[in-house]
Amino acid sequence: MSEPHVRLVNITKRFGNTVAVDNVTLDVARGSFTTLLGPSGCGKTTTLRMIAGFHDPDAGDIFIGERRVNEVPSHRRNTAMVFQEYALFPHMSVFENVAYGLTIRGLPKPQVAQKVRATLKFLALEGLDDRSPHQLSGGQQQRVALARALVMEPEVLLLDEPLSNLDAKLRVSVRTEMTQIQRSLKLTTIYVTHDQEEALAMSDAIAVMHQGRVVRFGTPWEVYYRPRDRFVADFVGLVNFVEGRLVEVSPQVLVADVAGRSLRFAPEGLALRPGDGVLLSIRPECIGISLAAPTGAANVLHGQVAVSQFLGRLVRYWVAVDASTWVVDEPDPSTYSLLSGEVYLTIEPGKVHVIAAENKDKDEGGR
Amino acid sequence: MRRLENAFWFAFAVPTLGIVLVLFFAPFLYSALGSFQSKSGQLTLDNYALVARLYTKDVLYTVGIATFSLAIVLFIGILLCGYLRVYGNKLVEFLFKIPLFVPFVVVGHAMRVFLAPHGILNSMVAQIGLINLDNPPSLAYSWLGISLALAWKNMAMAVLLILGAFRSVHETYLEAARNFGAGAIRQTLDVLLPMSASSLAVASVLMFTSMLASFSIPLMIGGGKGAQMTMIDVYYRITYQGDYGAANALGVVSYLLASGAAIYYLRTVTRK
Repeated sequence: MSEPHVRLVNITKRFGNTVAVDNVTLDVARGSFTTLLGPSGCGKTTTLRMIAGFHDPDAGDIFIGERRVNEVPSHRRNTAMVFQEYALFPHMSVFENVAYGLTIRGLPKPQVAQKVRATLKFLALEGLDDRSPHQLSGGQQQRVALARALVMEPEVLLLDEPLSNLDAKLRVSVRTEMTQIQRSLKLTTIYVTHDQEEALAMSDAIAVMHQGRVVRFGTPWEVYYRPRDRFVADFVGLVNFVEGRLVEVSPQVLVADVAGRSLRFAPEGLALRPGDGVLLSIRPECIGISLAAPTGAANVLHGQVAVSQFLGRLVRYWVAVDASTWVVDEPDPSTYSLLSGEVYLTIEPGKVHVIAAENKDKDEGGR
Repeated sequence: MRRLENAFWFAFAVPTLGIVLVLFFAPFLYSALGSFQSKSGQLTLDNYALVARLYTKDVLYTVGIATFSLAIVLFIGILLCGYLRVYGNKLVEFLFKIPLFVPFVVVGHAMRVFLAPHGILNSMVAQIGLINLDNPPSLAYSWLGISLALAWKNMAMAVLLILGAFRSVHETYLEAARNFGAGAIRQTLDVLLPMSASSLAVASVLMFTSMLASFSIPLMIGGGKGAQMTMIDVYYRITYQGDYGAANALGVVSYLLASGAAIYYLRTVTRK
């Protein structure tokens, strides 16, 4: 990771008796796109607002670069925020909205005009200068809000669920645009969302928050495929959880007994012993499904299709195996019809991830 | 079913409508008609000619005082409500709402005591040697005294209405302005004021018409000499001269002054 640009050190924020943010420590790399991801009420927006200077932390320190900014007012932190509802001033034109911050800064009018026009051009908003915000589409409003933030040339850009008011299709195109803009400017960006797909698609790093704490921080791949607890695995995408007990341990492979069946998986460098309990996670797209019995596969399960859903780019199956149900995603369903009846599931050992392990002697915690 | 529903709601509105017709429209029409009648019942414009000859100055005086008082109320009210909206201060908010519960007559008396030549204000100013109490200036018994008293009395209503309008502006607009470095005054003038413009206009109309119709405060604080506010003229015309025709004409003129503002109010309300 490159040098941290924004550092949160043990920050805590309480509202009455409620702890909104609980002892959060986080390093945001310079020039990165970092997302605070979590369900409603997890503390992500409060964290962002503390970085922006709208809330003061009750404990801990916030650094932007080398500067501790706890007591620095919002406009002296050199951050710019894009709000969920955009907060474009309805009585001002697009031009006036974008120029507002520069005017307050006291820049000469020609300089303001030049900067505003350049920013509007950069965001493909030319020709909309004189329009009122209510005359713009949702996507245009979102870009004007971004222009109003970018024109200030902030050190750090803060985005509070800016896509949540857009329809699904527009959201995808705007998030691509937004990522391209961020990459081209190499601007340190902190983004808040509850949408895990958005977070995975846009971010260099994701901090998953739960009950005021950061429970996982890593790249999108690490967060998705290497969750460290049940909450993260469950919140970020669909997952199959499997509980078992280790029956065989070797440097190459671990074998767990899962409801009377053997499941082989990679050790991932863990120091485990036979008899240890394990919680495993397997993503639906990591499981193969077929009507014919596969040969040579390390893990094969035999079950019955209970439900299937055609989702266009994939088919999602719920397969009953003994007393449990497995979710399986089959990509590219364009060449066959939906499967039904008895099926075989295959799982590669390398695609099984150990979320938690419990030592049989109870002398070790989970990982 | 729809017709039945309409009939029900019409029946529901009848008592209210009836009171408005009987207690407002009928007397208003009666007065308006009376303003075009002589004492013998002949149709005439003499009452208006009398009003134009004797009371033009008073009408202008009334409009001037109402406008000046409104300007004071809006100036203080907007800045105060901006401060209360941005920073919040329950105590200050409560203090400014106290006049709401003080009757007009009490305000008139209190302001007379406060602004009189040997009243509290002059006594305090004399303490620091700014005036000589042997020859004190007097805000009471002047147009300025009436304006200040009306402004004080209407301040609570202004705070109630303006603060309500400012509070309906979502916090994120203020945060956006704050993020760019706008202080409380710029947040008020750049964001709160324009975003509450229609509510503020409605509040101004309500206060302006209330000031035009004020009676007890001008009666108690006014000097009794020179120009008077029109409601006092109406009172004297009826009580001492029994001249209902001229009093009605003065009433119609006052109504016309207020109606411009009232039309704006009704249009704004119905648009909402």
